[in-house]
Amino acid sequence: MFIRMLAALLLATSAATSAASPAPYVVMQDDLAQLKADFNAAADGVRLVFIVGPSCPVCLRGLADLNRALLDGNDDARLWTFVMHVPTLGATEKHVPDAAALVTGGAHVTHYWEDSGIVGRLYEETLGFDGIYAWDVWMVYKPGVRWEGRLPPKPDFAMQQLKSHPKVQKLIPLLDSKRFAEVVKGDLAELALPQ
Amino acid sequence: MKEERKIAATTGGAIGLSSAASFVGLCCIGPWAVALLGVPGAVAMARLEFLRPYALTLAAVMLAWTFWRVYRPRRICADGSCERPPSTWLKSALWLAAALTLAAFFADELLWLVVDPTPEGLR
Repeated sequence: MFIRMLAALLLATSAATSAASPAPYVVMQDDLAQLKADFNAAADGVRLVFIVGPSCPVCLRGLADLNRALLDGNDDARLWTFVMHVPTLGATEKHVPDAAALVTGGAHVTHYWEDSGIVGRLYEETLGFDGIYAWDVWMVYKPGVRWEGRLPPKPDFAMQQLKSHPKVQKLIPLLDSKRFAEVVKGDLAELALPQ
Repeated sequence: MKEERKIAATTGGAIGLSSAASFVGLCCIGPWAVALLGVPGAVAMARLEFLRPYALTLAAVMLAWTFWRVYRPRRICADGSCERPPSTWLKSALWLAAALTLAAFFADELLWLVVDPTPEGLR
């Protein structure tokens, strides 16, 4: 009986998550040159960088929640979203299009895939995770920040869903999509409106 | 017999609840959830994570009741009219349910002891 109830709940909640058609994405080399260039080209705006495992349900839930709280219906041209899909827990490139389809809004959203997942290793250093691969991490950059060196710059605000790592819990808070959206909207409010 | 059926049903319920809780808790062990349920289904499963503690608490309460029914002291009747103690298979099932529930409580922590999310090429 419980299994039946669980199945019904699954069906009901999955119906609430739209199954959009697969989305396009950019395949990069491990120098991440494309991401760096796109990140710096959008330096006048507020930028979001998400690192997600495209086959990890918890990451996908985070992506769906942020889409609902912030991106869906938001066509603010000053907001740029970069979603890095990484090969954690057996994820491969084939998982990217369906995961990317969870993002249905936002004026500038780009999805990236890179085979080695090096971006998580670089962010591990930037965020001070000290040996814990950085994924399921959600970051906000204010205008003006540029990615010049080897490591990505420190974000102005970040959240994560790495609940099993107490060290990470002390560094940045657990993802709360509503709070995340408020921070981003606050950053956008500080910017001048586009002409 | 009626008592034995009640105990068996409660034990089965506890096994079901702890299995469901483990199923939700172990969703990240690999790409199986997406392969099996698709992206919307996997997201829905992750959304049910909040039910885990309730399911496990209910399973623990059911087990506590069952253990009490199985191992409570019984009257010894010389004429053999008293109810018989539960069968060995029922006791085994109960202990199996207890082990499953205990494992389900720590599934999340145990998972990350054996699974390294770091991409293979970077380990």
